[in-house]
Amino acid sequence: MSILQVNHLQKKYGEQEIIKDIGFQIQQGEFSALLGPNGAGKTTIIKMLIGITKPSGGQILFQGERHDRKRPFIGYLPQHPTFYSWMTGKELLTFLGRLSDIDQESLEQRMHELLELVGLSKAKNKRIGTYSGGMKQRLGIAQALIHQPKLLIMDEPVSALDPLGRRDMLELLKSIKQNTTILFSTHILHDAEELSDKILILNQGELLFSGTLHQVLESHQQPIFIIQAPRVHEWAPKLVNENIVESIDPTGCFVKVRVKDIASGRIWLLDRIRSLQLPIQKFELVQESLEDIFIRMVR
Amino acid sequence: MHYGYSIGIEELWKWLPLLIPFLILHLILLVVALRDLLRRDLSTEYRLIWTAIIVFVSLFGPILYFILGRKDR
Amino acid sequence: MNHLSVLLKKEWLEASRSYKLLWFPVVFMFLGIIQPLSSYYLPQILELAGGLPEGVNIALPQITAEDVLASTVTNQFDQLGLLVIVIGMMSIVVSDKDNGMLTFILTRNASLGEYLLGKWIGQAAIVAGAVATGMLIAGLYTSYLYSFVPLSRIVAGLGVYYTWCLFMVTLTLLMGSLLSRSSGVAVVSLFVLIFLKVATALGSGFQIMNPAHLTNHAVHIMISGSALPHFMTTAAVTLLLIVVFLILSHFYLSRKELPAS
Repeated sequence: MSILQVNHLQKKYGEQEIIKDIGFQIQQGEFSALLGPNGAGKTTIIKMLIGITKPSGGQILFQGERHDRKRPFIGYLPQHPTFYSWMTGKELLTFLGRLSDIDQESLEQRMHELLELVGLSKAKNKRIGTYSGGMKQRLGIAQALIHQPKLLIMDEPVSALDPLGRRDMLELLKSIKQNTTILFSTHILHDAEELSDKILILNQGELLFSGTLHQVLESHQQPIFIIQAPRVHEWAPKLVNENIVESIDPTGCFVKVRVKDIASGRIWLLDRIRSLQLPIQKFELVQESLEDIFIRMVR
Repeated sequence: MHYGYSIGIEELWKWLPLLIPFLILHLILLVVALRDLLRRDLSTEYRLIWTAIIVFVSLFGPILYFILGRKDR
Repeated sequence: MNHLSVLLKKEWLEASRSYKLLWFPVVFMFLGIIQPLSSYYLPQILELAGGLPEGVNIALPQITAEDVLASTVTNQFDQLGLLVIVIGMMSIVVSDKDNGMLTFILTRNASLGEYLLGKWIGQAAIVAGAVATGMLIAGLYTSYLYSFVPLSRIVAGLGVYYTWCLFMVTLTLLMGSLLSRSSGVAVVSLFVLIFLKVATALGSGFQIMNPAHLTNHAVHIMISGSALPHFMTTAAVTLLLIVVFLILSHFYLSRKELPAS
């Protein structure tokens, strides 16, 4: 059964349509990534899911039902959690836990487990003002999980962290993914790829794709040729041929060429390399990476 | 400008008990503000400026610090 | 109302961590000491500053204990005290809106009403403590330097004056809900409060509707033991405005799109 079902969700600010008729589902135990470039509407969707922004149309169902108060179902971690810098980590968890109606006894127990899980047991009695960005983010995870929500929603949980904090966070997310259903937004494909079972690709308020990583590759992956030779920008434009070549993408020291038909494309490209007398270092046929697909889709 | 000697020492004695609560309150504010300032992880420059304000702006120096100086960066 | 106690506990912790529990009462204690002390020693202070020139003779009016208490309220509490209340309260809602804590609290089970009520009660309690201590100190000094003032009159005057303080707190809370910068909150609140205060000097009929007029009632109670005419009207209007401000804050915040972080 699906934990979250979104049907025809819309959001307009005046004339401007931020979210255009979006629908998706999240099943129990799934780890889904809402992937899209900045400004695609990720945060707006999340705000509607957690109930602080009212949708202009459509419905959001939790376990098949509409709820005006979605709070018990959801744990939420915002993009830049600041909290109260004058509180200690433990005080914050107590405060928010009590506001979620957890009784004192089970709260103590739960706090102990969570602080252990996010690695803040030693810092629990320090003021949050002294925490690093990564520690605040991990405290954010702990507060989002304190009331044992059915669904954990995170807005860009790793994007703002330094490489070390990022690594810690990814490890932490992997460890909680076993027993939590998670939806998180990111503009970094690599994070989505590393963590999630399912991705929702969003661009300009439209859902371009939703499914497993495997399905993305299966349905959208195309083979491309990679040609490597010195002075890319000089010869890359000479590969244009409307009948055979679909797109040319020069990146750094090589060129990615997408062709309409593999067999004839290969012969034509090799011919071209010979006639241009390119001192090629590499010529290979590979499958598109997820990033190639993502970039192709959001362009 | 000859203030200072028109008032006798016995006059001052009469004032003192009334001024003591005032001085004690001021001292408490001063100590608490300075202790807080020194305990926080701040740049030397920031600390010096606020120490000067707390100590030399009489009466309201510590209060200014509590209102403005403790803003979280 | 279980959430309310959690929110109040948080307000208390915040007030003590930010030293507000210390400096707020201390400021009002200062203000309470200054007036009796300076009135009493004014002749000597004048002398200390060089004395009066030959031939000039200022007949200092005979000041009574009641006068001193009255001017403590009008000259100290209603000026510097008012400023301190507004500045101390200016960022209470604004900072929660800015740093996303309000969103956080509301994505829990607490309601907006509980949140606002928690803020309001918390701040009102701090101001109550501060104003009462200040008044008590002023009473002690006045009784010692001048003559004994009946405690019942001080308490009654204080109660009336506190209603006006409650108005200040609620107005600042409302501005905090409406505006997004604490400096703006302070400026607008001070402007309104000082305007009301200045308007009391005009003394015309509409004063009975002016919350700032409560100060005059309080002063009159301390001096004579009874309030000015139409006290009930002024008090009722003030309490009504307080309720309206709270409802307005709730109404505005519940419709506003809160930042997600």
